[in-house]
Amino acid sequence: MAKTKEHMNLAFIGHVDHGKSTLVGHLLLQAGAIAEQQLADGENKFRFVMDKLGEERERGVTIDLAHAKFETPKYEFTIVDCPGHRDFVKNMITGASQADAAVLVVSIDDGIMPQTKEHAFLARTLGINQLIVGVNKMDLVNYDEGKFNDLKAEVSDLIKTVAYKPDDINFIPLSAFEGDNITTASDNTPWYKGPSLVEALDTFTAPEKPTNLPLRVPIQDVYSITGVGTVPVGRIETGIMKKGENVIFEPAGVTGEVKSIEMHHEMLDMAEPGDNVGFNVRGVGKNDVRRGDVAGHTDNAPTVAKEFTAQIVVLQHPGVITVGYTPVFHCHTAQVACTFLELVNKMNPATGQVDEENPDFLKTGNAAIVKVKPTKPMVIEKIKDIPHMGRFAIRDMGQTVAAGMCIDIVPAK
Amino acid sequence: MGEVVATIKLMPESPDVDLEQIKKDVEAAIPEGTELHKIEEEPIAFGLVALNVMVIVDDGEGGTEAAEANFAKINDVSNVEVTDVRRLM
Repeated sequence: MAKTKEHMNLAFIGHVDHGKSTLVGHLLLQAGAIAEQQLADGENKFRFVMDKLGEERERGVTIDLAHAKFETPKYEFTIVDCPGHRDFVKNMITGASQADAAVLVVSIDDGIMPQTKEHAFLARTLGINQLIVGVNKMDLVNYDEGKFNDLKAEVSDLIKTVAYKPDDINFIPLSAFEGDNITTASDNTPWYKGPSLVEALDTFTAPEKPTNLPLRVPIQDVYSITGVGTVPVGRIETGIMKKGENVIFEPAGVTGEVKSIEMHHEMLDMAEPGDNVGFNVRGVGKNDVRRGDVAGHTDNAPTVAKEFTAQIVVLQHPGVITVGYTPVFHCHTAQVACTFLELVNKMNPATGQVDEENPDFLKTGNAAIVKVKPTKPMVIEKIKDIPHMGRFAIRDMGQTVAAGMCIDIVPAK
Repeated sequence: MGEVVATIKLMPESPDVDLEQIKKDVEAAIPEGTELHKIEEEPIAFGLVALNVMVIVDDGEGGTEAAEANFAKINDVSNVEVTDVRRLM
């Protein structure tokens, strides 16, 4: 019957004017995902479709396209074209849709822009380990190999700063507008010997569900349900929860036995990463646990941090960040004010080198290592141990001022 | 500037809330500059049903914040969480 290709979520990141949407559109068209659009026999079907969408503003169609799937020989992909504005960063960090791989789009005429740097950092923060760099708008520079190589070198330096290995990454010269190197090798770039975008997508490795990591369930809400008892609700981020197991909620420190688990109103014997579940726990009252707590197994409890060290990037701040600054950290379902204890060093985002030890302040655009102290107990994990639980957005004055990841922890106990 | 489609999940106060009333309140709580696309029910567990509200906002300052703030004030809504954001072509 139906083929069962493995599924991957593919994020398109980079500056909003670098042709991401056109590239996504072209990919969907060439992969057949927009075939339903009653294409006329226009010479350039792609432009026709884009114009048509633009003119008619057919909501249903554009929204369906934003959630469309397409297939390569090996995988089925869903594309997420990431928003450009910084006010969406919090949603990307705490949201449910985990990208498995990303295409970083950089246009050859503009080169690296601040948003390119931010998105490279965010991709790392979001735990995206597999990357392709699409060097777009090659038609604007007559497919010049030298210009491509120059930008490739610059982007290589940039992504090294967030621990990507440029040697393992495909850099592809593209023209999303003309369709070069999207599905097949383009005659316009005879000097390019690498894979097309679609061929490169098939070199990705399918994600495995993080079932081998310790159980972590950030609690979204807690209910007391008549005839059932206390029911915390949340999404399993990592690990497996089974009926009959003992779980602990941190930082609350209370423990109980999982009596039953439900998802979509159906009983489950076990739940795995990605499942949105409610589970009835015996021995825990509704008021013992709250949103922001994290459930884990009693023998491998969630880490409560007394202090932690983080790598952050300042996205937008009207002033400067100094020691003593106490904004709110949004980490999984928790929101906790944390005080900056120490600015350890400031890095040059272009090279990853330390620019300054113990700087006096940080401002917009800076990347830095900092030490912070939560004003009340909070659960956070090292990004290298449990990536899903180690990232956060920093909010202040109604803005997302920074984003970051936890690299070290001083546990509270 | 472009537009973003966001999915905002509203958790109910209890299994006994009037979902139809919440849907009406959501429609009335759509802020200026935000467009409601659709509301879907998502059964969670033990009778609890969440509402996934899909809205379209500009890819610009503020993002989904006005919508989140308005939805959080709706009666019988316990909390509000943005679960997905993506740009429209």
